[in-house]
Amino acid sequence: MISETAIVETEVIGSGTSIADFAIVRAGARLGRDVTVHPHVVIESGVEIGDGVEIFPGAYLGKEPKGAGAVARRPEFERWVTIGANCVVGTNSIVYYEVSIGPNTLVGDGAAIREQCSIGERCVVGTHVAVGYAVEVGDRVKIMDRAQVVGNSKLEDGVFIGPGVGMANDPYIGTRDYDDGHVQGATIREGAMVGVGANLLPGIEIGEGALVTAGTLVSRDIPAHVMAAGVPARVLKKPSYISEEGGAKPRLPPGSTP
Amino acid sequence: LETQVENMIRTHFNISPTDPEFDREVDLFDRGYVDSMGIVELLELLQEEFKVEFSDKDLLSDDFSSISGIAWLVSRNSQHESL
Repeated sequence: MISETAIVETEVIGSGTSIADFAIVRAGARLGRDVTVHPHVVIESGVEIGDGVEIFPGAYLGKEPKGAGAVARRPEFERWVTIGANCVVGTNSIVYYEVSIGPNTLVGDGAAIREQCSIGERCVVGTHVAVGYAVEVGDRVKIMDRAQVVGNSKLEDGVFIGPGVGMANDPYIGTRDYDDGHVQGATIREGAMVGVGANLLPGIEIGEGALVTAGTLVSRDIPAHVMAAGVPARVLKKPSYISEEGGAKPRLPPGSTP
Repeated sequence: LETQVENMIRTHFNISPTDPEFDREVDLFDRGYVDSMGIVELLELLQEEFKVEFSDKDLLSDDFSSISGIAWLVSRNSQHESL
């Protein structure tokens, strides 16, 4: 069902899809089957929504990044977004252009995902999480509320990022021109876990299955399967009650639908 | 030295004097006597009290988990420094 007050310019709308009051779906957008578009959602041209996706009020999919003449890095992007089947996209969240999100991923209320990001399947991007430009996120990754994943970061499969984690990517703190060579976020290997409120300095790598404890300041690379704690971090043995491989566990077995 | 380390840990981490599981060989971290925040506090306490430093290798070693192992590391590292 399509509301009379919705503006729907596309003709590519699967069966069973509903578009609620005051939503806008531009020409060139493609909606799969059984999609639920709640009121005031805006879906721009080039956005492809998979089957069974639910998009909550006020979400904006396909936002153009704008530099306003103020940012050091000139935004570059292509005009497409793909949202995998059965994703849930939260209220007032923003997905910029050139973002792909795998199936069964939750984008929380107010989350923002910048251009050139890829996010895998069965991930959680929590409430008000900010994912910067060109971030690669694997499958089953959990990024909890208000965490900030800085541009040019990589989070491999099963990584857990606790609430309020902060990351930096510029060792010169904006005093030099933008250059991908020195502006690098964290690389977080498979199954690594970062506790609440930890801070990660530019370009550091956290090894497979490593545990970064709450509030830790990571200022150098952390090896695999250890625990990092303190300000700045010291490397310690990981307690045996934390599994060797680490990692966030998916709530549903692969292949099932919610 | 082991007694000093034991007393420090017992006092700082509120370990019951009647806890039958607690001894100088028990793994303080695996058994939950000292959590991840506590490790950092313990490290500072040891450095302040005994004026020693611990290398990354020390902290990753099996010794840095029990009272006896920690006391051994403290004693070895303070000898190094006095040389």
